[in-house]
Amino acid sequence: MMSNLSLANIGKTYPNGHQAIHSLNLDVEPGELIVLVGPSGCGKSSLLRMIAGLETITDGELHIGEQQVNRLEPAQRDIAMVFQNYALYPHMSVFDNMAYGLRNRRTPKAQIRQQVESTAEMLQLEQLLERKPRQLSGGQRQRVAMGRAIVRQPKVFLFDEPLSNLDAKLRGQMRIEIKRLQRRLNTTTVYVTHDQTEAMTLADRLVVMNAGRAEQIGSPLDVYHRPQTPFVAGFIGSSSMNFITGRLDHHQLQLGELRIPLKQKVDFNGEVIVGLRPEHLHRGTDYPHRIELDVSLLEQLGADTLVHGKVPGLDQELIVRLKGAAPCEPGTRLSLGFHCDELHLFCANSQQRIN
Amino acid sequence: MIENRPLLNLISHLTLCLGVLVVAFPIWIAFVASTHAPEALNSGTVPLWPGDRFLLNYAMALGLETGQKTLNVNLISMLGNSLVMALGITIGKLLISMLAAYAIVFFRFRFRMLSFWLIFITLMLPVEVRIMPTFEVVADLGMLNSYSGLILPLIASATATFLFRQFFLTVPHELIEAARMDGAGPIRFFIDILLPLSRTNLAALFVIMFIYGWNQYLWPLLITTDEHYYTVVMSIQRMLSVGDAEVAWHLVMPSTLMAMLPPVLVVILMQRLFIKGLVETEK
Ligand SMILES: Nc1ncnc2c1ncn2[C@@H]1O[C@H](COP(=O)(O)OP(=O)(O)OP(=O)(O)O)[C@@H](O)[C@H]1O
Ligand SMILES: [Mg+2]
Repeated sequence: MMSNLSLANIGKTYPNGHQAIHSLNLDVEPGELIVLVGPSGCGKSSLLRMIAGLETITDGELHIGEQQVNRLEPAQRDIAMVFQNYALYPHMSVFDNMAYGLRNRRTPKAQIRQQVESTAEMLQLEQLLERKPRQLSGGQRQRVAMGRAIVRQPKVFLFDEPLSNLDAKLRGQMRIEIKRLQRRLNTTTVYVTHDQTEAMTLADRLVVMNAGRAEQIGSPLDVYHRPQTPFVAGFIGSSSMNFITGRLDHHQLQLGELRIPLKQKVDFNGEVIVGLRPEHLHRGTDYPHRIELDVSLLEQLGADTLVHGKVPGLDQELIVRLKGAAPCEPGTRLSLGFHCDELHLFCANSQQRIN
Repeated sequence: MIENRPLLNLISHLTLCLGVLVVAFPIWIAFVASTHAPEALNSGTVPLWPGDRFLLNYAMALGLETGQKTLNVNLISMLGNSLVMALGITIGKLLISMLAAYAIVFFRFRFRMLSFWLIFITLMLPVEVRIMPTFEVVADLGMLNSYSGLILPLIASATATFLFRQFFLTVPHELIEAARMDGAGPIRFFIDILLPLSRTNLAALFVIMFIYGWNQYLWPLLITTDEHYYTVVMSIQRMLSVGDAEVAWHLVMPSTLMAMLPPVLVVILMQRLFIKGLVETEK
């Protein structure tokens, strides 16, 4: 079922006075998968639980479809949620776990059976319907938890870090499965995670949160290529972005000894924070700008190598991601090149993107 | 840890056997005594092996027509009274304490902690301490010589409330939230989820409370003057106070053993349930 979800100036102040969410605006299109991502304690769960109706909304308005749902009980909002530790009913069989919500809605017996069975088939749970949760593996429990959400055919799915209790391999599989299911059911979804890989691969749009605010909302590639703040830039990307402080004067960027004339026109003069992703520093000669790196440490990942080192004249350590095996030893000097359009420039004062 | 030290094994087994002996011997004596003629018991020496009057003594104790002189009490009706009282107390206690704990743990209301502490403090006031005012209240309400008088004053239980509270606190918060999302209101949640999860606790408390109710002595003694409401435990005492006449040990002993039977049955039956619950620990 397709339905849109809209958050207008949503805020949350806990009874103890802690303000967990500051005036957040978000319009979720019907069938869209939104991922809320951010570090621990930034308010992802709080926001999701407000959408679910498990926390009161202290400011703003929440609409599901055409209806304002601020004061509705969770069950009346026509949403379903998958919890981090699954929260399956331990004394009920898999079938009863999935059927419970339908029974409470007085769905006819025959229809319950039919709906549960078709959902079980979709999730490959047909063989497990008679088992109790304790007789299932972690991955199977996870699937039952999803089944319990899917079977009700709600307007909106909510996921709160559903994969964080699984091992890395299973997490990868389930990630794909969730994406596939969501495409197939075409149900509006809000998904919370602190794992940026999960966020990048799943999302139609990302909401990067920091300290109760949405720092940036956009498609994963948009957020990757044009992060609006150093926080977003540092958070998204599999190895964290390098930041260097410098000055910008009349389209000339000054980084220590280094002087880089910018190709794009940037109308800004003053202190800037320059971001450069580890994967955007390259060996080879066909790059217009060069730096020298004194290598201090290597991390071999097999396919890639992370090179840590310092550039003479710059204070910060840099990390570089190079393809293949290590091309050098710690203690040697490495010559690297980059394009100036791969630099991200942020104003040092306002922390906003300027290029 | 598996240790194989023969001497230690021997000593521990001897100790255990000794313990069993100490506990079981009086019961054995009671059983033996219940199978002898009155003359054998009043002669001053206690026989150690069963006699031949098992059926006769038990039939007499139960007041069946045997042609012999019996005690002037109706054991069957007293067993019935005891059963009503014990079950009433047990079920009442479980119901009330579970609901009280449910309210205290899962609902936010004014004076919630105050209510909890009030209940908790009554732990320190057993029936015996408050027996006079309680008697006064029960008498004023006209509940002397009635089942409600036997049951109601003993029904509130701080212990059970406290135990249920501790158990409810361990129920994961997300389970409650999942049930809310599934459209279960407070009553549905209680019946469909909390009650089945409390099964083991219920069984254990049922045993404890049943024995507590069955063994009540002082309270029934105080408030019943009508034979129709005598319980078995208090009336065994009455069988012994016969003034100058000889105590009818051959009838008292069968009564005692039969009075022990229901609690033993409850323990045996319930034990299967809560051992099963303990073995298949639910997560
Ligand atoms: N019931 C509450 N009362 C007061 N403060 C709370 C409450 N619940 C959460 N908070 C605070 O609100 C902030 C956001 O919490 P929230 O659980 O939403 O974080 P999160 O982004 O989900 O973190 P994580 O990734 O660790 O799950 C935290 O600082 C937390 O301490
Ligand atoms: Mg969280």
